[in-house]
Amino acid sequence: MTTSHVIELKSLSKTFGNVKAVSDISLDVADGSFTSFIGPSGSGKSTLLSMIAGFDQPTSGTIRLHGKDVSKLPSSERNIGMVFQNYALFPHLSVFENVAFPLRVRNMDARTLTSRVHEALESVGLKGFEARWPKQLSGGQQQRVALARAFVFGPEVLLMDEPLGALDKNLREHMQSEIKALQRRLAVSVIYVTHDQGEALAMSDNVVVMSDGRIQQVGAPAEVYRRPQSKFVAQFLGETNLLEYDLVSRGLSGPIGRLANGAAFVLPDNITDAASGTLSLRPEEIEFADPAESGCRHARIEETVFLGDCMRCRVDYQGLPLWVKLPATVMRSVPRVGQNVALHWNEASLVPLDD
Amino acid sequence: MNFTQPQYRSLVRGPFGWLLNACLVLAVVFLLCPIVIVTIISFSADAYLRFPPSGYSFRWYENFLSGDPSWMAASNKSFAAATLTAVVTVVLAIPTALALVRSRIRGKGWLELVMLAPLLISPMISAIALYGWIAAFGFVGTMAGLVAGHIVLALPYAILNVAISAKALDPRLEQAASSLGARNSQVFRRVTLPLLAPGIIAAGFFAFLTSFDDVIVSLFLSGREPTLQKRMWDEIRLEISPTVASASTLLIFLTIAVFLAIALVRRSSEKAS
Ligand SMILES: Nc1ncnc2c1ncn2[C@@H]1O[C@H](COP(=O)(O)OP(=O)(O)OP(=O)(O)O)[C@@H](O)[C@H]1O
Ligand SMILES: [Mg+2]
Repeated sequence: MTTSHVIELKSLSKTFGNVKAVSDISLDVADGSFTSFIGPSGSGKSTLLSMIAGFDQPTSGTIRLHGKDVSKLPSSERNIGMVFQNYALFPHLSVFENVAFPLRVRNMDARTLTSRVHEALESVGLKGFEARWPKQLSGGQQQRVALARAFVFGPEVLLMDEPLGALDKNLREHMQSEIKALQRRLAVSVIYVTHDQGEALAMSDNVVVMSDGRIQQVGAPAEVYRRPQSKFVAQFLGETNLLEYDLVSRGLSGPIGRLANGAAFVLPDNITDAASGTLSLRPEEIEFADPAESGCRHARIEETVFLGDCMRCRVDYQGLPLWVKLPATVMRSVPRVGQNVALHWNEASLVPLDD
Repeated sequence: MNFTQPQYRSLVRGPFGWLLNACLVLAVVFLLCPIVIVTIISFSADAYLRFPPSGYSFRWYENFLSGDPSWMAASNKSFAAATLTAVVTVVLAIPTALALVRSRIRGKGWLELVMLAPLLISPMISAIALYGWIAAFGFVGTMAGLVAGHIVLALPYAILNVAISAKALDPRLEQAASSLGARNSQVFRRVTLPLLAPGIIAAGFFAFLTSFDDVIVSLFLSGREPTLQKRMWDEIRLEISPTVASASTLLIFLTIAVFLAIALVRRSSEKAS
């Protein structure tokens, strides 16, 4: 059987006492891909990773690694590299020995070992740090050592549990692109856990949104962001306006809906036949138009929040509060609190949601 | 201005400063006096314990080291017993402490208390209780019986020491090691053991000293060939020669050396981690 999946999870569950930390997760992860798990605290991301790494036994379900069932294998025989949030460097070993650890336990001969360790340290930009102790490194440097240690033995997949959580914003962004570059160069599959949505969107080929131990949605970052399927995903990934509507009719020009404030508008074609529903409308999809134009939606600016590269405005759309996000170019001239504006959005940017 | 910087050069000031300082000085004198006096007497030239000695010599050191062979025999027995006690105690303490720290059973607090209870019980009571058991198995007067008795005294403290290191050991380090391909035995040898080392070494030293310094259990269990402490006890009761002082002085400096060694090990391991 040929498989292009590095990891296949089938009906994976984990129960602690009466807490269902992970329930019934099935997922195939493409070989060589960068997959991010994202979800609020307590949604089961770390538990899932622990089971893949072999630290925790699943309550039920199976884990396959390149087609082979590893559910019962001890962690040491899975050939999986793991990077922890607190780095978990061995404090009693030097940087060199930390990176050499996985090679030593595999009884690699001294010459190959030395060159592999140097190579790994060089690729994370830590050449010359071999003799240092972990204590003598900054957070970012410790993270790089942890990274080098996790891939030096050529694991089939790299697991990372919030590896950048402890770093400041600038360093985090820098490390994001380094990790990404490294992943491409090594062509290794990465499973990455974070609760920073920006990080997940920026780095991943695939994003898995989790809550309450379940997968809410899986897809490419742009797809999950633009086409969220549920209220939870729409609100968790980025900001959004949730519009509750009643279906009025299925007219010739498409279905017509009415908002809570009475405003009628054309719904996207792909909505269900239910009498009412919810739409997601991202703040950046709303534009300000000229109020003199006919058929536009009148609103009043209630609040403005300056964010540097953009501005967020809360507008009152005939009794319905909406958030609008404006790029810096528009911002210079337009928004002032109390000003009347016209709103414009494309029908295609209305995304119907399951509850 | 740094207010937390201690002022090493001055004693305590303030209204009752003189009282505090006086107490400090008295305490130091009180603690050091016996050691100083014993050390002086150990160099006595007199035939019996007297302070201050009328003359000075090494004769009682000579007596201890070569004059009366029973002293060296007792010393050797004490060394052997203390070494065995230290080794066996540490071997028992490591798994016990790990189990105690890592297990998630109910009533763990009570179990910990029970483990440490012997620390609170008078050694005399432990000795009497032990004597009954060890006599029942016919081990009185054997090395095994003596060491068993010393282990009972030393184990709680050893467990405590190893447990402190075990609590500080992040289980994620062991998880990391095993994800990196280390089998359980390799994880233990390459990660767990080195990280427990400070506690293990302290436990070993303390167990050694517990055995070496013990009189009470030795009184009951050492049989016809006494340990050094028992031999000293006999000496004081029967002869009162300054050999006791020489032996004590050697013991004092041995103990100081051991404590310095522990402190050095602690400091160097703190530097590394
Ligand atoms: N060893 C354990 N014993 C009992 N409950 C646990 C254990 N580990 C995790 N849980 C529970 O399982 C659930 C999922 O925890 P998990 O650590 O996987 O969440 P997470 O998504 O990683 O959260 P975070 O973003 O905060 O790291 C939580 O409700 C947690 O309390
Ligand atoms: Mg977590």
